[in-house]
Amino acid sequence: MKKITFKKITMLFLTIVSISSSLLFSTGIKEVDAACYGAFSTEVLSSSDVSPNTELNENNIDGDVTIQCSDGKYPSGWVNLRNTAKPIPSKSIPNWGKVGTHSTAVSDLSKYLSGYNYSIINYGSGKIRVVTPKGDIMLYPSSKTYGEPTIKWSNKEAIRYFEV
Amino acid sequence: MKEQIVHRWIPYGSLTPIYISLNELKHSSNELQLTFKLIDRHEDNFIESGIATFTFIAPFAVRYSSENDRLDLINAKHVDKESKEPIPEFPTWPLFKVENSSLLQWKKEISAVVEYDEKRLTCYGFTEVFYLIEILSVTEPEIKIVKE
Repeated sequence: MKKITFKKITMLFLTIVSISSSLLFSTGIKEVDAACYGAFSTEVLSSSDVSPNTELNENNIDGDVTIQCSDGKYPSGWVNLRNTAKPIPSKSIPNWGKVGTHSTAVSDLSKYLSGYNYSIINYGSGKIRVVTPKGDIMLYPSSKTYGEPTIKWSNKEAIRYFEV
Repeated sequence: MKEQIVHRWIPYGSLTPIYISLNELKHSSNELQLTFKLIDRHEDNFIESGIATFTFIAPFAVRYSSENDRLDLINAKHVDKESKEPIPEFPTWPLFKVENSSLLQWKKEISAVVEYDEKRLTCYGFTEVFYLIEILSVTEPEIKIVKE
């Protein structure tokens, strides 16, 4: 009696393994390891920090996937915007610099932060606030320290635009 | 209120950074110590050139603001200490003194400064990557510089 029960259990187990394996192969499911690296740092972002680009790309209709990297603590799009600039040494806040003007900064905001349904407040004179669930992103037209336009995220990080 | 005038401040001959970055602001019972990283720029590269520590003994008042929001000082007249003439501030100089300081004015408005003190006080300014710091002090700060 005991032997028969053991045989049945073994057969049932093998059947389940066989069915699940064939399903796995037939549906083409694969495991993919993905990691995103900051362009100028060795910081490794986990898979939970990666958010898909939800913007429709007409050239991307054959199933390719574009991955946008964003640390979970950052607003979506911020890391991509930041990676267009070079780091400036600072212990107080991470600071990046790139060549550009106020128009470049406005264009960058539009390019990297649109598509996420963020609210935008325009204060005039070039000062713009982008409200995100992970802290506001501010564009300032001038700076006492740098004399140039700045985009700051939640007083934690800054991107400076230099004309030369 | 009188117009604020920003005077370039070069307190130490070899101190010639283009930018400064605040490492630490430490306030004990009668001493305020600010430590900054000094940053020079060579074309597109920003290079740390040393550490500077400014120690104020018994400062009268301290205020810090987001440097981008201080349009009053961004748009103020900048004057070279030597020439007394307005100078273009590009790149901006991170250390300055403010004539007709709004911080001093505010202290006067709340009667926290008497005329005797007003004449002795100087408003020192530091503008770094995020903050603009103003300090009212009777004496010049002690400065220590460690070059890298």
